Amino acid sequence: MRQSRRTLLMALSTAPHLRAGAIGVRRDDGVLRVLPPSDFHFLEGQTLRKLQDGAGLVFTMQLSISNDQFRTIARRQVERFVVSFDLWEEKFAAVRLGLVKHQQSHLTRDAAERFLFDHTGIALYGLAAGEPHWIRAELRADEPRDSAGFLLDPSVTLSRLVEWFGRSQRGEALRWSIDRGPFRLHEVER
Amino acid sequence: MRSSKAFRRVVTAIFVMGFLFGVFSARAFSWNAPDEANVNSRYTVESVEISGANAARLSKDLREELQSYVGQRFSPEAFGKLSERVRRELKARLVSHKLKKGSSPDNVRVVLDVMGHHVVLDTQQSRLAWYSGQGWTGELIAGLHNGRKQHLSLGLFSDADTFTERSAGVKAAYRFSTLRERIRPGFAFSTSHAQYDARTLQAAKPNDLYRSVDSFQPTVTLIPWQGDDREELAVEIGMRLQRFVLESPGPDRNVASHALVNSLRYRRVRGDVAGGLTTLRASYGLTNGTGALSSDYKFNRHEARADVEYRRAASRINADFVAGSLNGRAPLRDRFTGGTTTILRGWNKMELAPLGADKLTATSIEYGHSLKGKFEAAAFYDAGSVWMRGGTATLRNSVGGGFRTRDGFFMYVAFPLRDGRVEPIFMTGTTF
Repeated sequence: MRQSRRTLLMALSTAPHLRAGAIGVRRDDGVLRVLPPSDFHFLEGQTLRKLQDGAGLVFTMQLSISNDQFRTIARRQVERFVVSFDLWEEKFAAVRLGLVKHQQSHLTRDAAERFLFDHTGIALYGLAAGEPHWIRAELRADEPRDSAGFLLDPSVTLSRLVEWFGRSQRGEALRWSIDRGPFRLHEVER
Repeated sequence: MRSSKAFRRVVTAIFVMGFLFGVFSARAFSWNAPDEANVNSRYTVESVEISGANAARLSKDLREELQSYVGQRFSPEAFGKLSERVRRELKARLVSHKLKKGSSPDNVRVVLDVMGHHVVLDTQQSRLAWYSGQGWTGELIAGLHNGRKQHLSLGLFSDADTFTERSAGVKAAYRFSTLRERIRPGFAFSTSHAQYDARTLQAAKPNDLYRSVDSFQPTVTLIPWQGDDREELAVEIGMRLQRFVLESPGPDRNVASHALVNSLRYRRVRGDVAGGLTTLRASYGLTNGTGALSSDYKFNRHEARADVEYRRAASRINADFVAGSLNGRAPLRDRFTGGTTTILRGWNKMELAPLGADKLTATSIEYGHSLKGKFEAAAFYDAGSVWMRGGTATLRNSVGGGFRTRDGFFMYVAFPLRDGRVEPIFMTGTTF
């Protein structure tokens, strides 16, 4: 397997710093999954402190696969997760949201991070096995906010609208992005 | 023409459907994590604490609601909403809830961490009103406040309701709070032009009317006593430096109406809407135009107000009383008026006193009953009199009713009670 390029992008200066490491891909029952670098951690710094304060953070993971270096996207998959930290047991818990929920508790930090990657995959069906492909994993952590509650509140006034639009700084997202490619699907190990 | 109408209908339908889709998808796709997804939701709340602010500044209702979660399972969504309510009441920049271990396993303490003051732009003093026979009143005031610490406002107005004349111009105000909000210095500035009704022009003497007025009013409000729940006694002392340019031709058209302004205000709130909520407000103001400030007008103006509001379930009863007395020679702007959207509703102020009056006594009783949503049906009875010193006070009565909402909109029709004639007066308005 050949790895010609790896890009780690930090979208915000507040995001945790990433260190060098190897990103991997693997096949899992007709699905392509990403293996993050061994020293890649997103449950640290500010994110970890919020979890340790009892917050449940929503993470959105998007996998995109392309055969022309992301000029076009051949297929993408988005999953949403909630990660929380058990205050008394001091272990992590993760839940994949959606129609079919998957959840696991008593996780170490590494295992909680790995849970997100293990439960997001792109179906290989229809993708040309011999052509070069690029894959990108994007991860975003969102702070809880009350947008729906605001819109449905019957007492919305001009003052509240002004205030709501004026507080866009709150609820900022932390983002991570990891690229890999080119690689050929038939070279990917199971 | 027909195709243009159809196009507009299609665009309107798309807009409405888009809005509804946005609202419903916002509800369905909330960014907030569901309660059960947070592993800490299995723990019991041992206590709810406020950090970074004085909990006594919260309303009694909210304090009680916070404490009602003690003994229940921790709900991240409920505490997310409570944090937002605390943030709004304290006007803080951010309030986040944090969990701490409780005194025993399976218990957690919830700490609402209040951070910073939120700088907010608001338009809460803005209003728009219409009173038949007297026209529109509009005020657009933008306020910028940093929690309760500082408040700056700036705006435009054209007011045909408050004074005898229509006054149009700009105004600005600033105040700040110090010593735990017990001392609040500030100032207000306005500059405006006057416009008169024909009946005022006919009745006025040459030096009664002015073309423009500039006013600067530095004051300090002292709070000698504050109760634990929205109760407050306030004393305001200060001065008003006011300069008029008279309408009359002549060399000496600039006159001053400088005065000492002092007031005493009291507010008391008791109970809640379910069991009966009583709000009492009372104030007394003394404006003293004095030669010591080189004023061309020398007068004493007394004004006392009191209003009580009682709410219980869907019902509301208001009883208001105002009385005023003016001794000496005061400018038109300091005289009393009736026939406005708040005093002697239904009467035309030009009919009552085209040049304002020296004396005022008025009372009002209003009953409201909540309808569906935030609408309320209301009926009122107003009585009172405005008259000149040495003249005869004639009692005026009016009845009326209409609709209003809790956020300031009203639409009333009022009937002044006089012999043989029924002349309805319409009035409507809203605050922003």
